[in-house]
Amino acid sequence: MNIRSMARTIFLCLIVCAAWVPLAAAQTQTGTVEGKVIDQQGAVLPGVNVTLTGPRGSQTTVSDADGTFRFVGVAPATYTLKAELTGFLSESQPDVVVSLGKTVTAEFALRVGGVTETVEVTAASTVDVKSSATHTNISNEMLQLTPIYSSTSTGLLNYAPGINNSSAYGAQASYGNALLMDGVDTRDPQGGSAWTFFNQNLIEEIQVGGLGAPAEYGGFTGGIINTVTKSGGNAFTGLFSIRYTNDSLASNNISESMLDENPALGEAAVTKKLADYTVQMGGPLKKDKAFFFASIQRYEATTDPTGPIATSQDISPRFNTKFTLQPSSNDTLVLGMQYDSYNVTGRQGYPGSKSTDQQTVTEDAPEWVWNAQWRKVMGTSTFLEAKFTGYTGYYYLDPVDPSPFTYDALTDEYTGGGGGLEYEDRSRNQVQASLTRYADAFGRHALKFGAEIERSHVGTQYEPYGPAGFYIYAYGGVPYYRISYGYTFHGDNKRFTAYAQDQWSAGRLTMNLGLRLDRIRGYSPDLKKTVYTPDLAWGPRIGVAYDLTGKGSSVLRSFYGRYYEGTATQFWISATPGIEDYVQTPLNPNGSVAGPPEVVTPGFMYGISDDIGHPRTDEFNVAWENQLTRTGRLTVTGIWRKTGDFINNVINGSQWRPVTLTNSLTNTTYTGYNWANRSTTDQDFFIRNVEGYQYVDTAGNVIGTADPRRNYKALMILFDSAFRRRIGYQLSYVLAKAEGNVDNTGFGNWLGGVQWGSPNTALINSFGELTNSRRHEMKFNVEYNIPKVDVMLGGVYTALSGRPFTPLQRYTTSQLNLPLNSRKEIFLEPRGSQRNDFFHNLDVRAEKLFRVQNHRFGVYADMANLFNTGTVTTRQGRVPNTTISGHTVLYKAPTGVQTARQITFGGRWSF
Amino acid sequence: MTVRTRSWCGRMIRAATLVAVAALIPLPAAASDTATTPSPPTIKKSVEKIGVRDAAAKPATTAVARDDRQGSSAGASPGFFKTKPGIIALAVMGAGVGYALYSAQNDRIHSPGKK
Repeated sequence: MNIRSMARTIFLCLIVCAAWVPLAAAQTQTGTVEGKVIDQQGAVLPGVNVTLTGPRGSQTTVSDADGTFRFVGVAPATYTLKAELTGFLSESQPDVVVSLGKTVTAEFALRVGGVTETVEVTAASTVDVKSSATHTNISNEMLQLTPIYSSTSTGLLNYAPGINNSSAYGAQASYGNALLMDGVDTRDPQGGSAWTFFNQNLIEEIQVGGLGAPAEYGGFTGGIINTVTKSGGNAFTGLFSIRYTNDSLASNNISESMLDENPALGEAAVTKKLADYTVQMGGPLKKDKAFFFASIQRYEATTDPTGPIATSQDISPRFNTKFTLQPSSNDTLVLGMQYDSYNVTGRQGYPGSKSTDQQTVTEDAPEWVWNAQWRKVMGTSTFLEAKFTGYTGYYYLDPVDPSPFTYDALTDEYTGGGGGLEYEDRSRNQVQASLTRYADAFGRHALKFGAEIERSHVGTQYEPYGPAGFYIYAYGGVPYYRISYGYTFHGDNKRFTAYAQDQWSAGRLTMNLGLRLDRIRGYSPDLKKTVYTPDLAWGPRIGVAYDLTGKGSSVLRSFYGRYYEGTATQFWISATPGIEDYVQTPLNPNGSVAGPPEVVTPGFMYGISDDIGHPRTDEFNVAWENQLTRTGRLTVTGIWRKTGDFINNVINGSQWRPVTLTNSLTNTTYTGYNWANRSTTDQDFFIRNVEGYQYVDTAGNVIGTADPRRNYKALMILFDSAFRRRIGYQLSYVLAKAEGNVDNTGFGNWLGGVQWGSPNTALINSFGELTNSRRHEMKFNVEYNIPKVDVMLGGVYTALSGRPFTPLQRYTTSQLNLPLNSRKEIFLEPRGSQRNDFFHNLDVRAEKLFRVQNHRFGVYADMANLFNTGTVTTRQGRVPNTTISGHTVLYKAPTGVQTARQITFGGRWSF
Repeated sequence: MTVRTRSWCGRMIRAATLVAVAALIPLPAAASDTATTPSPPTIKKSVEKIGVRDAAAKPATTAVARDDRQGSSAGASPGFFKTKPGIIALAVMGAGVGYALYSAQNDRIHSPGKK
């Protein structure tokens, strides 16, 4: 095939993709091993038998006329690679680690000798000199040997450099990350946060990516966490693990001075009881052909969280099974299933962190997750993957006290009941297919084409004030109104994706070219209409990688790409019916009804633009990756990101009258804005890309123009070394800044809120450093085995700049003429003008090992926050004060403190 | 609010999509296999020929795990579950599964909304 026909093929594929307005992604769950065989004089050796042996048997290929060989569709694991040729000494490379989506390059230089002799040589390079992507791996060793624990993908993300509080590389924290487990997108289709919970002991490997991501990855503007779970192999394996702690093993790190400032802090959050066990086994059903893996966990945690709630309990049994079938050496079929139920008591109710035990809710949340995959290798040049994945589940929150609560606006306190009622139903189904083809024409090409279809459903019923449907609004202890509100929504995300990518290598240079097209739609089952119709999302990916040494040990990379957010009904759900009237009924001081109900804000549907762009991020990065030791590598990455096409609601036709407001921080005045024509425009909320929207006064003069921005720049230095012999470690430093006027915390901070509806929040002090902007970040994870005594030491140290925060002041309804239930806070200083304290934390694990043949027994102790430091993590931002649990808490007083020291004991038996 | 509801258009797109998917998948298959280029000159031509001949005599793909470093252990024996560790493992597994099943039944919170 010549270059012209190759180019035509690629072009046609891209055109076809484009013409067919799409969606989807088939994220790689395998890697590639390739290499070359030469003799001692450097001459290529064709006809060499090369065998790759792993946990599920061996596969063999023969080097071609160029002496090259390739294994495609290789499941992540550690393999042994062996080259054999009559008349030569056989060579073996152990510890060839295959990771997700990576190409491992190996080279053999055979010496003349007898074929029965085998020489063991250094393993293949750990640097992928062809990829333009920068990854961080969280290995199984790191998960098992250090005191890392999380039952969600987002929790594990935070152990990677550049990611904190789930905000990856400056992006939005709650929905900006693609959370993949064995290719299953585990996100909530409403807001994109983690939906499914898993057993950490299931994990074989985690790859954290998102920098320089190829076209097969999409649906993110932050990071990608790609998790591969364990599978059965030819050997029977087992893990029996238990962890336990209680409140007698906990410390308190709340100082007297903190309590003086905020008595509501009480004692630190304490784990009163944790009892968590896992039993799992895997092995062959038929050698080399069929394998099973089963894992069962029961997780029980009882905590005393910070704040008024005394007890919160979570009991979660989790069941996982996986069958791996290899009907032929070229076919792999994987069938996986998970069932778990999340049973919680003591979850915060409507008052949030102010909730008392009486104001908590119970949670009933079971789910089923499924995963069927077929991988077919055709020769040495073609690889097909097809998947059907998804989940279904719900969480239903019911209040322990269904009676209505009273909210006192003077003290900002809640009394009485207060647990809201919330019923959330979800399902997600995805079909993916991809074809990888290796070909030669002016270099080597690894072409990949794929398509994906997603259908996800959201059902939401929310009665925030509980089953009674209302609460009492009081001021200074005197009841004024009975207020009722709620909503019920249904929405379906529909996505079709197509992508094409080519890894084109010529000599030391590799071009990584790709294009991803996402067609996203939001469908309302109630309206039987498609209401969200963003433009076709074009995501180009252009990367270059240059092998600096020609030996596969050092690479320079550069990349430009555009990523789009995943689907989320939150973007458009307000444009569907379901919002109830916001009604207030006047009350007498004795609580009796004083008059007829008044509809303050009628339930209405927002309008939505039909010329709307799905939110996106442009990324440019430059990276240098260099192998320093046999297993260690240094990676230096410069990152620039810019996010655009923000979606929010504005109020069409609204006019704003300048008013003089007092800044209580400086005791000066400034100009704010009062909604002048609220009575005639209060149903004109409109969802759109807010950029360019103009705020006008009553004379039609422009007050200002919406200019939503979120930018991120960082320098990331990572040195990591996979666990080998006695030690493994990962050390990183990140210098970063995230700034703009669209925050990178939760969804509600910019979507569904009124930030861009009002000039007060859109224009006044809105630009600055974002909440998840950590100027300096250092993370150090290490695992070390002390010889002779056979004790494993694991440690995780984190040092972070504190999160920025901004003083704000709440104004009255009459000052701003905004509805009772809308946000009336205005920043008093530029966003992010204040910063919380620098944060340090050290968690350690010590484990004594006992080995009997291939059985390993361990008993360990984890010490979270070893030095029991008590860094203030959040401070009260409202000026001059607010009320928490009846206490007046001043501006800047601590409201959150680092988790205190907790010792957890554990034991396990593995083989 | 503006909503686009061109159902015929949707059907067209779906049909076009189906055609496109069907067309797309085989396209890369049209790419050639690794090109066969003349072997670079080597100093061991004769040895190569022997090697190629020997290799050709073997099956292209085999499942013989000569190096069983990752593929076997004491637990790899088919009779593993008849050994003492195997029996203990099964017993622990059974106890863990049993209690988790019990928990799934007894610790389950049932929302009134699902009744």
